[in-house]
Amino acid sequence: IIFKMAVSQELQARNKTPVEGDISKQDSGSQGETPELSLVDFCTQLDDYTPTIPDAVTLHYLQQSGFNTDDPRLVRLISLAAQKFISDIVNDSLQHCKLRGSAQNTRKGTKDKKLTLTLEDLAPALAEYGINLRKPLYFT
Amino acid sequence: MQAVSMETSKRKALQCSVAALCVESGYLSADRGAIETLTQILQGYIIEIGRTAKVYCEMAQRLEPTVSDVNLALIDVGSKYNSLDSYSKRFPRRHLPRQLRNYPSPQPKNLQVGSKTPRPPHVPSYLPPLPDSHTYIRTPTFVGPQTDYRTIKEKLSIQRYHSSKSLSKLLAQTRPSKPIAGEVDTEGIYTVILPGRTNEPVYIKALIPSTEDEVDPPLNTVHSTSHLIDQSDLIESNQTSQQSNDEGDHDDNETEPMYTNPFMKPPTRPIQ
Repeated sequence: IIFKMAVSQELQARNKTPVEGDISKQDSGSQGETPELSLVDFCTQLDDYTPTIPDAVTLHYLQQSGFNTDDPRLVRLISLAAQKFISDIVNDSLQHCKLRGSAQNTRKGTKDKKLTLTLEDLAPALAEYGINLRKPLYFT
Repeated sequence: MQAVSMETSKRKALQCSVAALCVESGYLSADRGAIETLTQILQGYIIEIGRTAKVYCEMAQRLEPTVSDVNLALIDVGSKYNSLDSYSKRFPRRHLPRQLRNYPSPQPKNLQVGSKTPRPPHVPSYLPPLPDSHTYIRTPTFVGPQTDYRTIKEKLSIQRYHSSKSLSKLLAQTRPSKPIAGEVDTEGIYTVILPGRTNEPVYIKALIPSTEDEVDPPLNTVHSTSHLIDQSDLIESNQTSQQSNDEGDHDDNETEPMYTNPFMKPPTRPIQ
């Protein structure tokens, strides 16, 4: 399986978020809290929350890239963000699967209960995120 | 970014996490290729966030990243961090169960038998300990024969007493005897061995010395055992013993040893 991870495409797709962050940072008195503060508050809530990805695994990969920390809340924050990213992708592929399934099962009326995550559903979901999936046609 | 190995335990943990997320979304099964893809994406994502956060931290001339560095890194990779809060409170939340670790069972230590001899002071401590004393000292495990006069005498007297007692019991049980009624619980223990009918008085044989007393007593007579028997027991005279001999022996000859009846064998004496 060959795929390219285009991070720059992601940036272009989500160019709005840094602007939003700056604006909300300046209005400290606005209704929404500054994202930095909210994240700080969020960090304190993370003490009792266990993300799906274990702390040790996340810490290992962070240390591999040079990110060294003693605070487990930072690690959990990052693992939570990564997990949310993946679950967004999975949810999008689920939508694709259901769309495909509903197109086939309109006669029966009931949706297919057994949903399988396939690469066919995953490819368009990833394409929205800027990751292009290319699969070899045959295995040599 | 350096190459990361494909089949480490961490990667498998990531795969498990990805699978858990898929299950949470509602998928029941997945392609292996899809899981591998998502694992690779997840790994790359975490590494990217870490690298970016580190870069921001170093740009601010700090050593340890803080929340704000992570914040900027998350913005950089394009995640919607505003919705992280609501995402964390989603239901159902899943987390991987902690794997039970198989701690290696404590190795049983070698059984310490001998005493630990302390090192002499000139021996340095990093050398292995001295061997157990039983490996080079041989101690005999048997108890040698007691040559003390007093212990021998005591043992002899005890043996004599036991043999006489058991013999009198045997005679009481093999001969016609009359029980003396004792107390309720001891009834039947005290018996009188009835003497056989004799013409002459019972004690006459003991008073008249005979040639038999000088010679070694024949092996198979109870006659020899009567020397051992206590005066407190009511045992009959030699004539009755001869009668019992006739009863017990198949041969009528007293002098010849006959071991057909093992109970009629003379007792074996201890060390004399």
